[in-house]
Amino acid sequence: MTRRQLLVALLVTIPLAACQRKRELSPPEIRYGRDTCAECGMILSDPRFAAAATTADGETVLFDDIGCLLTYRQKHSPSWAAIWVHDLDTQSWLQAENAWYLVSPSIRSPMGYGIAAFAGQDAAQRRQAELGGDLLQWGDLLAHPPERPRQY
Amino acid sequence: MAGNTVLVLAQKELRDALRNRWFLADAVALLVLSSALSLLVFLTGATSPVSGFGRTAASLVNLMLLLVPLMGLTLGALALASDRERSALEFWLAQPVGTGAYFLGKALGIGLALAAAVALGFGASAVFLLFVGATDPLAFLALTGLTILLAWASLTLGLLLSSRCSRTSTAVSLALGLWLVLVLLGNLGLMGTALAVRLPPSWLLGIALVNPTEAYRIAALRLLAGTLELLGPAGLYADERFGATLPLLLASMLLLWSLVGGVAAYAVLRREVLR
Amino acid sequence: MRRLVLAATLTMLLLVTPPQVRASELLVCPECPLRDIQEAIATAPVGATIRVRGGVYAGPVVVDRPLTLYGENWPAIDGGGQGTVLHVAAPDVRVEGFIVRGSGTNHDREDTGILVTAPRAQIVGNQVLDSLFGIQLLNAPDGLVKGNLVVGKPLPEPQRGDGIKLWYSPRAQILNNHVRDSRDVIVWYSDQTLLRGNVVERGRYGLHFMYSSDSLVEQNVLRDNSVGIYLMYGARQIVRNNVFFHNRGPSGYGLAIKETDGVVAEANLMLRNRVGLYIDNSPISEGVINQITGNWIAYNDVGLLISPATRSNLITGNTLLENLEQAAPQGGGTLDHITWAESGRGNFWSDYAGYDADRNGIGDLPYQNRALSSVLTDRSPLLAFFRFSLVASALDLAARAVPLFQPAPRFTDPAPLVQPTPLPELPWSVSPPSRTDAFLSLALLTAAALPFLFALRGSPRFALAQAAKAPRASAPVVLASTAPSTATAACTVTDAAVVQVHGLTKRFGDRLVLDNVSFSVRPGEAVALWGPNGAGKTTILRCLLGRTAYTGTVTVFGHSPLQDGPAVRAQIGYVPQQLPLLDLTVGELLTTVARLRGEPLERAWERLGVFGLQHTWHQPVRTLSGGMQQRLALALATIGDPPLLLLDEPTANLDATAREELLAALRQLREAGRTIIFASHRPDDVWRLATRVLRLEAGRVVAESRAAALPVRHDIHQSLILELDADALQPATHLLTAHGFAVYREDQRLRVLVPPQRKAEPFFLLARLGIQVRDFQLEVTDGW
Repeated sequence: MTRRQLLVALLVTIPLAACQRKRELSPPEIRYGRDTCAECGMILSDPRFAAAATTADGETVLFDDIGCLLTYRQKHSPSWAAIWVHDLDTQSWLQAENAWYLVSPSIRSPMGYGIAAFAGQDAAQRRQAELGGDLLQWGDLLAHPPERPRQY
Repeated sequence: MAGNTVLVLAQKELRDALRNRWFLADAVALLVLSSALSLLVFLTGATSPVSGFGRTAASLVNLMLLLVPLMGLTLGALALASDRERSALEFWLAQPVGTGAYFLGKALGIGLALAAAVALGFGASAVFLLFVGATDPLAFLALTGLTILLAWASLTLGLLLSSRCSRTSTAVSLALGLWLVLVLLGNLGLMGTALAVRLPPSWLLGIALVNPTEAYRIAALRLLAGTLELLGPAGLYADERFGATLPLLLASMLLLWSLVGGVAAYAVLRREVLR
Repeated sequence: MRRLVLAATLTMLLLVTPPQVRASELLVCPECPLRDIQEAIATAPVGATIRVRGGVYAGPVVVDRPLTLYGENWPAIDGGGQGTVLHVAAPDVRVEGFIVRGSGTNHDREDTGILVTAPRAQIVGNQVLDSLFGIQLLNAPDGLVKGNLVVGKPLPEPQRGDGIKLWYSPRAQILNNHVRDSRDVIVWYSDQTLLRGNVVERGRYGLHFMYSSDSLVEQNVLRDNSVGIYLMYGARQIVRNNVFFHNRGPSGYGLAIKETDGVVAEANLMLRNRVGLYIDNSPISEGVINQITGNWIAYNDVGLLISPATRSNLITGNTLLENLEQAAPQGGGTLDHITWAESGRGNFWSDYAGYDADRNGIGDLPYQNRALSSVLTDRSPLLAFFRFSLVASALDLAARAVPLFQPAPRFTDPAPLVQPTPLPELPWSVSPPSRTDAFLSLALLTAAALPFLFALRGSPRFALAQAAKAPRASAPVVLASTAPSTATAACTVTDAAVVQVHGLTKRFGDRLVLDNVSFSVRPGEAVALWGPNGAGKTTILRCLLGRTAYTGTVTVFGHSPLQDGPAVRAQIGYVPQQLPLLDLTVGELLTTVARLRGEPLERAWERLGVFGLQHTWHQPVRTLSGGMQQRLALALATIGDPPLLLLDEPTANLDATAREELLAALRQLREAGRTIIFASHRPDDVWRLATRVLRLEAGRVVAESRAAALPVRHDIHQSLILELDADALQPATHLLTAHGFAVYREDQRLRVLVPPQRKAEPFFLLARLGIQVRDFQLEVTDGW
């Protein structure tokens, strides 16, 4: 009896697990230390700078640095339905369009782009006072994506 | 008394196995091929200062995959069918022996013979492999156990096939057919399906693992290589979902196969015998 | 000459100058007047040495002037889990011999064990423990970090910091450090770094270069990291004589080169990584090449993994040994843009199947990598699942055999080496495999032998030898005296029926084999089930043995054979029509049956003697003659002295002599008090053995007669079958019986047993009464 249950459970859970990828647009769950950046290939280790984007049919790409997301977007011009970034302070997901961005060389992001996102303008300004740099909104960031720090 | 009966019958089976040309041919093939392969690994390893689980050692798994199910299935198929064909079944069951004891003795005896053949092949390989440190001894030991489980799973499937056959030729052809399906055709079909339809890795894994030989292959690779990344997305999925418990899970799956096969074979045999 | 003089003068000068006046030295220890390091720093003059003795000192400590901090007997500076523990803020500071531990965990502030923010610092021989970041050089050029042990904070991966981090700190020397369980040893924006002799293990990226150039990385050991060394976005990096061992985490590269120009990777060992060497889009600039030479890439899952856009790589003189996949393009395609040979020398591939006829060390055929399964896997990564399956092997084999299916090669090494290149010099001794492992193989071989030892224990030769040691049984086995054993004697003594059958019915599908059969057998009887083939005789015997399902009631010694099969069968000796042609020897068969029936082997051996079969002990059963087989069957049936014997056509396959012997033996058994039930279609068997006859036809008992009613005529051995008119059957039976013939009805025929001299007599008698014989048949049984 239990054997059969085990078999049934096994047969059912495997396909179910496959179907677990939900169609609705919610920010993905990142497995830090395992998942890799779609642009630079590095392992995502730092939740503060991790970003993600999803196409309408639910395909998700992950980035270790907001700069990587912008570079990827420039290179491939994908049709994304939603883009998310993390709040530097709370490390919670934000809609990229609604966030404030501080771009400063003092911010040590994984790929060195130095872009940090904030939910509110106040928090961003406080950090700006501390670290320097420019405070931007999503539109500005898209219009002038930062260069990769040093090129050879 | 019943336990003793089973042991007596198992002993008889073991002695029978030593006279069985199928068994001897298979066991010798296993011994010679695995030794030859290990010798190759040994020679490669002996001439190089580094060693590990490489291409050649991996073919050991391949070899086992080829030979062991063949051995188990044919021996299992021969076991009951030939007894029925020459009415040995009638003879033994006219002794103070229950059908269950007869079946258990049979399965136990052949199972032990198979285990011995596998252990012999692996033992001979171990002499070469371990001297060059080609593999972790514990993993190797686990692989031996796993291979024995595979032998048992195929044995009980063979018994199941032959429990309904009163002709050896039918049973053996059925066994060869099933062997072909298990080691080749099943995978070929799955491969085709995976190419034609976009099968999610989890499905591929799930479907494949129904096949005991596949469960063996995955578990063996996991044991020897440490991860399943070399098996692509489906391997990664297996690693992530089951992690270190995977070999254990697959081993229990093989054990389950042997148990289910054995119980089913016994049930069918019992019905056949009382007709 | 002039140079020599100069050297001599200089040496003299050195010897003559008095030893430098020691800069002032301060001592700090828990019992000293100076107990606080920070206080000592505040009071120390520039260039002073502060000696700190063993003990625990509270952090944080900031070194804000050029000093030497020298720890004796491992003094510990403990940050208490807050902020940065030791901050070197002044140039030319040396810190040596300290345990620095317990930093905070804040990533925004980057809490660090030892943070250096000034040039020319020397961090030597310290232990940095339990710190988010271990040692950090921040805008600190010309630093020396040497011989330190850095162990990361035990945090989950996304919260870990780097073991050693360089940030805008060019010309640093990172030597002989040991870093483990941290994130990376990372070099940011720092050129001309020298990394030599470090060991980095269990981290994320062992050594990680970001936007840094002109580094020299040599003699390091990178093991059990996700990636051994990751070169990203730099140029002119030299990586040589390093060991990349077992880097198998996520990504799992030994050496990874991403968008980096002018890499020289030579004489490294990449062993047992997931991927030995990974090249991604490098070099990225035009007119630059990467050189990959003299490396040993062995036993990795994939030896070389190269992204498709990669070009301008010179990969020669390497040894690719036993990698599961020697070299593969990432995500499919070919590796044609790579240069695999230079001036006629390629690489050593352990799976190269060519030859070197001219013995110049170069294979005469190019090495081509074109497995069909690999190509399929490139096309659909999911198919990697089938690696090492027989399907993959079969496909490759098929593709090799039928050139039509052969895919284009993924790459071609035009000049493969036939011998491995010499193993580079490495900071790593290859430990010889432990010889104790050999014991495992011995253990396995022993395990293989165990089942056969078990079989040997039950082998007859062995058992007989043991039996021979035992004293001889007191009662010799004589056939006639083998009375039923005491256990079953009770049944014999009481007059209760041995076998009772009532309403026994058996169907095979639609066919009715036994139709409401009832009879009983009392102890000492010899009952014949007599009838033509297919009358149901054997089926009755099988019912009695509990070997087939039936309806109705059957009891044997008061038990139902169906429910208590083994117990019932223990009381029954069964002689089949023919012994199965077993491969077992007589000895093995006898031993097995004796064990099953719980009889001492010695007694069984004596039984064999009674039947004159002892000489056949070593003969396989199948080689015995028919008579011997039947005698053996009878000998086996008497093992354990069962009170009831069942025989199924025991004489069917026997010649005259054998049959005579067998019947004699059976009669003796009957006279010894055994109950016998036997099936036969031969009247003479019935005649000689039975005390009662059940005539069976088409599954029914059609007649029952006591043997006394049969003429006791031992010379009858033929039967005359007469076909008569229906109304003549009855009178004919009476007539012939009256004249002393045994007569049985079979449908519309009569079977008459006739002695040799009276074969014609029935015709004469019937003719006298005017009964017409329409046809007749004389059944001549074989050999008689």
